[in-house]
Amino acid sequence: MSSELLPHTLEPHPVTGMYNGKFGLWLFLASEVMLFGALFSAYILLRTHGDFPAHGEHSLSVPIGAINTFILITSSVTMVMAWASFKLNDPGKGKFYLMATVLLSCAFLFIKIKFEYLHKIHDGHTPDSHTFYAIYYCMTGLHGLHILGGVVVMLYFLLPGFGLWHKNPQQFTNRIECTGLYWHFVDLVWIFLFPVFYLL
Amino acid sequence: MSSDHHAHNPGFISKYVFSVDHKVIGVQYTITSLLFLFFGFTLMMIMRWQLAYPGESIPLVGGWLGQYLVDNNGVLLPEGYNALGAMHGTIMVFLGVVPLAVGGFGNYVMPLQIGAPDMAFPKLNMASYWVYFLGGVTMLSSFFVPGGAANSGWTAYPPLSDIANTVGTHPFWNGQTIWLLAMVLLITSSLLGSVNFIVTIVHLRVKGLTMFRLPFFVWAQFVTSFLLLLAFPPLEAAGVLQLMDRVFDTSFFIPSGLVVSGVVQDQYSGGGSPLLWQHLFWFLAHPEVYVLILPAIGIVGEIIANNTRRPLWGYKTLVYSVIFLGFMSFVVWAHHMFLTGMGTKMSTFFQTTTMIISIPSVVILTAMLLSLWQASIRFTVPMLFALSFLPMFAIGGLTGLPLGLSAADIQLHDTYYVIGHFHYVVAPGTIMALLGGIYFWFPKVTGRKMSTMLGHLHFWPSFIFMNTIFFPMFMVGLAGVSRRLWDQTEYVQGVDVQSWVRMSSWGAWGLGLAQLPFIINFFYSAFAGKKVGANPWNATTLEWAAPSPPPHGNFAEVPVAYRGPYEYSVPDAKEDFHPQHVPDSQVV
Amino acid sequence: MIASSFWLPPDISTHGSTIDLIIEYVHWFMAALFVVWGAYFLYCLVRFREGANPQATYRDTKAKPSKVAEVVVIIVEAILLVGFSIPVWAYYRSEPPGADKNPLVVRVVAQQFAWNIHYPGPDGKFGKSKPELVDESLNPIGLVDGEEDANAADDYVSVNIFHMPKDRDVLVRLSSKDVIHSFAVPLLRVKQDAIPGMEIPIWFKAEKTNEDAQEIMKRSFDLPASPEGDDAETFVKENRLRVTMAKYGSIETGSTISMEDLKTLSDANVTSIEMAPGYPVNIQCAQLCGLGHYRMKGQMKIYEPADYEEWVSTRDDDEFFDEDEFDDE
Repeated sequence: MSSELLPHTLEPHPVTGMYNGKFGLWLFLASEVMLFGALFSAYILLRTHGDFPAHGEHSLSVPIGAINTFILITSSVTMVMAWASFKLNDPGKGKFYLMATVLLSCAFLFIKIKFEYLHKIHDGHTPDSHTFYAIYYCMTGLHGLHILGGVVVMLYFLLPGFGLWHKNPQQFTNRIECTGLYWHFVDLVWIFLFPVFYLL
Repeated sequence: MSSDHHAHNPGFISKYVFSVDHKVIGVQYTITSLLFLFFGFTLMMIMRWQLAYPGESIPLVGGWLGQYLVDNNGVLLPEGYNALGAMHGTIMVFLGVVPLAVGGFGNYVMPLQIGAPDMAFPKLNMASYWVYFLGGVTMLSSFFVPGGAANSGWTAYPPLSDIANTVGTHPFWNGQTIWLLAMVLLITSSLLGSVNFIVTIVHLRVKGLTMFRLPFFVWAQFVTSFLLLLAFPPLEAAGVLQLMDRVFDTSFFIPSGLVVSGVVQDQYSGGGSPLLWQHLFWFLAHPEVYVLILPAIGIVGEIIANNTRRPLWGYKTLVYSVIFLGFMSFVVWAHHMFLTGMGTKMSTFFQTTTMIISIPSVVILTAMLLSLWQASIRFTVPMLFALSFLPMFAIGGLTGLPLGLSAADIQLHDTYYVIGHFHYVVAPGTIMALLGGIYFWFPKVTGRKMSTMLGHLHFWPSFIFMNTIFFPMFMVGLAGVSRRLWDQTEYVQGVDVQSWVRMSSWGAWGLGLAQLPFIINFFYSAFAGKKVGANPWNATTLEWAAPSPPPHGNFAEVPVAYRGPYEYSVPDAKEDFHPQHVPDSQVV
Repeated sequence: MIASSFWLPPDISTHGSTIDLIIEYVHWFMAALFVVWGAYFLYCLVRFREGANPQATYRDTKAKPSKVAEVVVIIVEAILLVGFSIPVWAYYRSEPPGADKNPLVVRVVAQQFAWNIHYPGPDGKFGKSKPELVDESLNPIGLVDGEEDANAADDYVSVNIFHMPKDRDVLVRLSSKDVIHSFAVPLLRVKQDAIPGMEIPIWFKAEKTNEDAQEIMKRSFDLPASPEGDDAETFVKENRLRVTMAKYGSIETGSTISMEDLKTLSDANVTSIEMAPGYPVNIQCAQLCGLGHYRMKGQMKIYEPADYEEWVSTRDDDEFFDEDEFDDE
């Protein structure tokens, strides 16, 4: 593969202090900030536009949201542990923590769908019932897709992608680090979503 | 970094179809986008018939356009006109010019100019092309679904776009919904590309090639990539919202109490804002204008430096101007929205930023013009295209002034004046520069030069017809004819300027014919053109240090940059050009 | 004034001359810049071609003139902005004419593909409208009846024809009931998007009536050599929106020209006639609004104040529709 030949695939670049993948991931996150930033702006505009409900009229379940927040923060911790384990050359532990992150994300998605989406839809709060629910489903749904994407990537590294560990452990660890950066960002988005939709 | 790692022989598919080599991907982008450019232009040639001869059957192709575009007599339908207009804009901008300027030229030339063996993420690069390809195919497929292609303009303003293509069509596979899906794919492709470009430019420059020794074209691509990276996501967000409005009947852009054709739209909850779309759209689409123009300015800079045989005037000024343009392009978007009920404070802010953004454009143009002073100008074919860019870009830029002043915009907004203005920037401007770029780098890609005679046969008619098409539009616009009218002779103002409208149309058909020498030249020269060496133009930048065509991995040995990009006509030197990669000991 | 009178349509509003002035000044400025650039450009192409100047100069050109040019550009743009555009816009968007000026207040509700002009009637108050009452042929803006809201009883809705007096401020509250339209009247230098869910105020004052405008816009047209054949048909088609401005034999003032008329004129040896637009002050839609965008046209009828009062007193307030030849045109 030609990528093995490219400079700064592994060693950091002196100016940015990052290897290619990490720099690329930060740029990707910058675009993600613009994506969610645009949606948060849309939310603010719709809310200040006029006939948005007063708080409480359409309130979401704070306890369920809080549980999910806790789950996601925990998954961020296990993600860091996974990366640290690979960095310390302990692939067994690394795989364990990665698996734990996958399971926590699945738990998040399960709770979100089973106890929130389906419940709300059953009560008639569908996306077309009110702009509040429209933007709620849109933003949390997009966030959920980001979680799902992260799960797919992690499962890839656990199963077919793990071969790279034997060939080039440093490159593999770098990829886990990038996955972790992405994961923290996805968590951060939720940290903003939770107060905006559940508390304010 | 020798080439023996590449010695294994890849099969045809992985070499030419699913290739990860930036050069193959660059060529794929170039050819695909040239096809889209020609297709998008063909749509316009059809529309121009209806404008020149309203209500008359379209000759030649009228019979095959199908029930969504023409009636039984082959006359373009109003909704067909709107569909062609929307698709012309979308295809030219998102499937033609940007992929050619960034995906084609950026991919092929930029890594060579910085001495890199490839892009930083070759697989991502391949993914970027194929996502673009998929987006293009998706976009084209909308011509064949019931109801035809999207017909709410390339700006897709809701509520019109929310309710368009919904009657008698598939709930999901209909024109506007496919348009949104294709846009999401194209945006994704651009994001992948822009990340790749920025990492490559920052990380993969060869030894000695500092940021201020980069060719101007690389700087242009660098700033363009940031614009794509940061401006496209808000459009993606807007696209997702509009998709939800169309598929799930949400009301992001639907206000309360909408009545369409006498029917109360109570499937929507209401409470949305049509202006939300416009803000999100123009937040992208104004930087997008600079995405269209900056790579072209970069190409013109390269060609002018090479053919004036002297350093580009004010290199650092040019670089700072381009960076400043990039920043400012994020704070001018609402000058597209002066007439949406904007108050004095907002309009003052946006017309002031608009006037400010005109300054770096003037500086860039002035620098290019000053480069001609005391030069030794060679009128090669690429140079003709680059020179023609300057006055036509000037017309495009200058006519932006009355539109940027909100008071003058009251009269000129949404008239043909606007069409003339932005086409002068992107068609006689950008597209002429891109064509020049093809003539300039063709020897690098194929190892053969394009025919000069056919080049002249391509350039002169193109130059004349470009102006024949677009200059009359200023007169038509000043006369007060609104844009996007299927038949402007419904208004007496339109009847008065009908001869100008016909002139535009004949110009468009002439421009179509004028591309024949180019098409012949392109294929003829690729196989039978005059063979040339690595550096046929006696140029200085690093891409000319690689063999023509460059092999996989690009350089026989990794070059080192010893000096700035445009060291032409240095006093007391053996030759009139000092390539960046040749040490001082060998040139003086 | 040369440029504006040559290219722009005539201006019949009180505020339009300031807009025209800006457009004219900007164009002179653009032309001057382009000519200077162009002359320098062409000089360079000739003087510094390879044949005339085989050896280029390496060192940077001293570029004082270019700095001067850039400073001039900045100053001119600043003057145009601060001296003209911002004040004109502030005027155009400032507080609407107050009650002391006795403006004519009108609602305009745009729809696919027509303009509904809603007059409040003698009481000066608009009746309510409701989306569910909309009936495209009988009640296009969904106005409630007089029993439900007394203000609605004397309201009057005109479709596509905007009746107004000259020399009086007109305040339009602009909205739309379906998609975004744009209310554009080139002769009045007025353009404003009509956005559903918003009611946007605009105002203007006409200095001239329709007849005055026709008088300005009348031109002499040479009749085709033969009253039959392609040329004659083209002539009739191209001038279908124009009317005669004088009496030509049996053809009355203000009539459109038909093929028979051409024959009549030919027999009377008339070779040229004076015509002007039949509806000189037209309303266009300037924002793509669907397949009928091109035919979403209305017209202004600008009267002398006394004639306007007469129109108000003779119109039938119970009829929503003004049966006018314009509709089937």
